[in-house]
Amino acid sequence: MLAQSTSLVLADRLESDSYVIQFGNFNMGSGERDSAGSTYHLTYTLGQTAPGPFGEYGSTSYFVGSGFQYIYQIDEFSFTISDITIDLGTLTPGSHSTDSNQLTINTRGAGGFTIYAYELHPLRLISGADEIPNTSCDGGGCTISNAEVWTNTSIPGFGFNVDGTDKASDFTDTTYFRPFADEEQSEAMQAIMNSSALAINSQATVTYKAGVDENQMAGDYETSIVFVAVPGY
Amino acid sequence: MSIHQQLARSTYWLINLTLLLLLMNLIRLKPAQAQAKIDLGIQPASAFLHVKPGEKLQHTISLANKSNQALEFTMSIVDFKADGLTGQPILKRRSSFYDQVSLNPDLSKPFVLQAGENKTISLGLQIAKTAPEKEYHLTFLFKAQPVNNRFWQLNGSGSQIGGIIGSNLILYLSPTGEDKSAIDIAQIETNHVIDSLAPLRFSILAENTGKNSQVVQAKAKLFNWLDQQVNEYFFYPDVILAQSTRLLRGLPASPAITDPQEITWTNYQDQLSTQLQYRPLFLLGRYRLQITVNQQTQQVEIWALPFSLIGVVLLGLMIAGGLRYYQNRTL
Repeated sequence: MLAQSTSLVLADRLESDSYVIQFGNFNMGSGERDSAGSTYHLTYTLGQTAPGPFGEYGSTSYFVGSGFQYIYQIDEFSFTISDITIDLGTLTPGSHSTDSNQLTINTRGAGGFTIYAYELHPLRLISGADEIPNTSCDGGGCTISNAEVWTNTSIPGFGFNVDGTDKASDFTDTTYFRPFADEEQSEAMQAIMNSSALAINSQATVTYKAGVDENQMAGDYETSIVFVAVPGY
Repeated sequence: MSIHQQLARSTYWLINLTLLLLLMNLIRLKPAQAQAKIDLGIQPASAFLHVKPGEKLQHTISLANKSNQALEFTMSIVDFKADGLTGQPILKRRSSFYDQVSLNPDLSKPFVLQAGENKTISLGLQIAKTAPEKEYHLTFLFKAQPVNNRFWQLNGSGSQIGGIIGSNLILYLSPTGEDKSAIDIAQIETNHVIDSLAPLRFSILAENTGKNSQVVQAKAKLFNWLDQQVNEYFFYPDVILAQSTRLLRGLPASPAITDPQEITWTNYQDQLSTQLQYRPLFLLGRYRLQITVNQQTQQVEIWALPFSLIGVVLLGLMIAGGLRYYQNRTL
């Protein structure tokens, strides 16, 4: 006859009222090394508790990457706007004024990314007495989700073009413009760049264009544009 | 004094006057200004967590201001829905999650990060005891804008630019945490009849009709009319959110890839595609495509027939017949 006794196993959860230690671990060593000639860069963690992997794709119903070294899969998602002041200068009838900046995305995750854009309101006099309408382009048919050609300088308005890696497909070339989605009118912000793949310095140039007709009131017109960068999953 | 001497003398005095005025700050050279930019980093990009109703969840987000100026941040949470194809969130205007959770109140206030400053934000989410069993698809948005309004720098009309960076949280509220996902094949997109000289193409749309996200495990095998396996395809283990669909990304097996586990994002992300194909020199007869997604298997038949060759032969016969007829008439 075999008698067995089991004792209660208690595992430490490192927390208090003001902190919780995530990825708590008991190690006996860790660090990083570079080879001579930089042929490799090695990081290591020794003696950690229950390092993975556990399970197997295509075989089990789970896969667990357990251990401190799997933290390298948690990568930073970064987004850069090169210039936050768009200066269109003095707007004169019969001509378009432009300015531009660059958007840059970095994501090492498998989910990719999307960048959306919207304006708080159309270009508006500080006093609020007049507005420059959002462009409808040469043919009158461009929308917040579909760019069309806008090269006729006698057609006033405010719009933008995106040129570069991962741009939305309706920006066929640099003559294709859209108006911004208008937050004031509760228009849904629209995707201007996206990719489902890895992005390393994925960059695009946004060109802003404005034009006025002779009926536009004199003065400085302003608005705010917001770009929203969201990672995929 | 000659004209040259007068010119030299005038130039001499002009230079001296310029230097004097500069010294007196009466002519101010416009100082070079670094372009103001927004440069943000966030971690994690996406997180998948489980919590029980009534429990408190600590979720940590690291935010970095890598810009060349101080930025003021405001945080908000919005729901997103899956685009159903490529794993891109489509943001909504607000979140229904606020009904089920109370947040650390300090996090609703704007905060400033100086240039080069990082901040670790610990979000305390107290889940309501009555919260239903459901998966929430959330994006934490951090809106950044300059501390100082820069409109004064404009020489006329223009726009100030703001940036928002997001971090996704897929949160499964469940009293047990039991896996209630249900992944199946929603659609196999392919042509059932193709030309013998054309490639055999297919794509797979998988769906998750369950209550929580799950990693997809998929394989595809292609057999010819002799039931011999002619190709095999492995798929990247993407996540399909609850109540959504996703196109599977895969690549054909090769001497370098014999095990699905070898398909890591780092090694093969350039080769993964949602449109798979089989392209030998010539296809003929019935092909059977067997697809297995999370233990669910479906098969489709694809027939390859030499339409183009038959067309060429028929065209040749018609031309030959026409020539013969013309010759007979001429004779």
